[in-house]
Amino acid sequence: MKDKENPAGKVAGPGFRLLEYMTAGVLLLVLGVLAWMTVAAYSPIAPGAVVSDQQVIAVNVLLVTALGLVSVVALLYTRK
Amino acid sequence: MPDRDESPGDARGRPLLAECELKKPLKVLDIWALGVGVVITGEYFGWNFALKDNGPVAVLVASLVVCLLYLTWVLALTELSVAMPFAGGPLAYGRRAAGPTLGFVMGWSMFLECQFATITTALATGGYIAFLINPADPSDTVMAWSALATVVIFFVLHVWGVKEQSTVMVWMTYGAILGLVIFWGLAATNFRWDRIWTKPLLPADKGWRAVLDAVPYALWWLVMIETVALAAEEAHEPQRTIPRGLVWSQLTLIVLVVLTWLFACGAVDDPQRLGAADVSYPLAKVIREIPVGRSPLAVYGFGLIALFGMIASYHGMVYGTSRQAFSLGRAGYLPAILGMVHSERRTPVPALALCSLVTAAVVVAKLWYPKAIELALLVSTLTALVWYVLAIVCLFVLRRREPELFRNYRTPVARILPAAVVVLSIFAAWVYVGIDIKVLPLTAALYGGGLAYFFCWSRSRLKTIAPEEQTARQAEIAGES
Repeated sequence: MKDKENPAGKVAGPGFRLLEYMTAGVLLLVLGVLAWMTVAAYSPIAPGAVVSDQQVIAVNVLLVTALGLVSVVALLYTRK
Repeated sequence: MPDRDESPGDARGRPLLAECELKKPLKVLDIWALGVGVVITGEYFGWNFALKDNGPVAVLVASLVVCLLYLTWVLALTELSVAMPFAGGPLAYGRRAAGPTLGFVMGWSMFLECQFATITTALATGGYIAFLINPADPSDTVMAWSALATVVIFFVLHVWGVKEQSTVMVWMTYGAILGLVIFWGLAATNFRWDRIWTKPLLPADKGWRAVLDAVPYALWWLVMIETVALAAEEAHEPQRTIPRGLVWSQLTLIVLVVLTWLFACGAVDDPQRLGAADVSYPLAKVIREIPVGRSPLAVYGFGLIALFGMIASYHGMVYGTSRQAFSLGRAGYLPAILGMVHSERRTPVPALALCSLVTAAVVVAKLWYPKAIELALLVSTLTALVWYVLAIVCLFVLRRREPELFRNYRTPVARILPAAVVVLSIFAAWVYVGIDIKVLPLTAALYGGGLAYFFCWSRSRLKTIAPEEQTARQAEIAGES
């Protein structure tokens, strides 16, 4: 992310930017998974229409990871 | 109706604006309490409807999706609310980004969201009180009278003043969290992991469809957290207090959501029974069904503390509804009387009266329509999703057109995070199509009625002295020059 996108400017070091890129990537992955989930829910012949336990666990792990990353970014961003 | 006023900075406008100005006493702790308190009722009831036919794991996945939606949403919304700290948040965003029509649609959407959430919570509060009076067979009449008493008490409290109510809110929020901790402790005495981690994890006949069907009800965990945006006009240093208060309240709520789901579903033999339409007091029902619930102290003690949760949320929801009606009235989109405040206490009495009267009317109607709670819940969450999407569109439009507006605060992950809000909201709204209840026709009728009023009456009578109108017009003039 460019500096001009972060008016706070206090946490825009390379480490924070890397964290932001990782968060963005995981968020995109979540959106992709939700799209796949919707297709699988309404189309019995779609890949993944028969749900395995591993798929459910993987989706949960992905969502928890996204929540964790967004939370960390938000906390770093709003500290004094 | 007042005359149309075309002079934004004139001598008449300034005294009227000062008369309609709110106090600024809210700090980070108040914002945190407002954020947690206004939605903590979601932990006490409503989400349980998602369990029916879907099972605990589907509800967990849906809940995590909803938590992610709201975490990203509050961060993106903070950017708008800090840039435009007005009580009528969505009205101001839509008005400035695309004109009065979008401003009205967004303000009206949030008013409907808040009003129907208030109705839902008043009904559930009555349900919890009726359960306390007769746990074996709660009476509908007792429920209605209890809900009406709640409406009257909190109308008086809100008329009294914002500082007093924010102090009460902080203490009620602590009480509501204590109630959940007690629930977790009691439910843990009968907890079994295999009740949650079923074989298969999702119902075999529904698959991922179970997750989708659970989403509209899971939204109730956190819906109305954005009410905090309405507090920006009343917040001290909103650019700091709003984002910090919102983030901490959201993180607190995620922990509460997961632990409440875990212990509620793990404590009873058939968690799906908690999803029955007539169960508006699921946590109390769990306590009553487990061995420790044979003690009257456990049932009545928890039931009484649970009321803190209901009341804390009702309190915050009345706040949100009245501030939205106030701002729409102040700007002329709804009858101007709704934009008036008490001359000494500076509280929006007519807006509070409207909100309370509508809630009371539906409480009475519940006696003849048993599914009123479920219907009100779904209308509230659906109208919320409408303005979430529109607000992010406004954010992108204003970022491009007026980048200096956001100099004090810009959300992290600046492009992807707001885009995620839009996709997650559309994903959640999509599943309403399959819901077997009259939520879509009712919602369409409410939007139709509101738009008819706007186009036939208020569009030509907007008041330019309202801060949302003044700042939007000044921005338009600056853009033209």
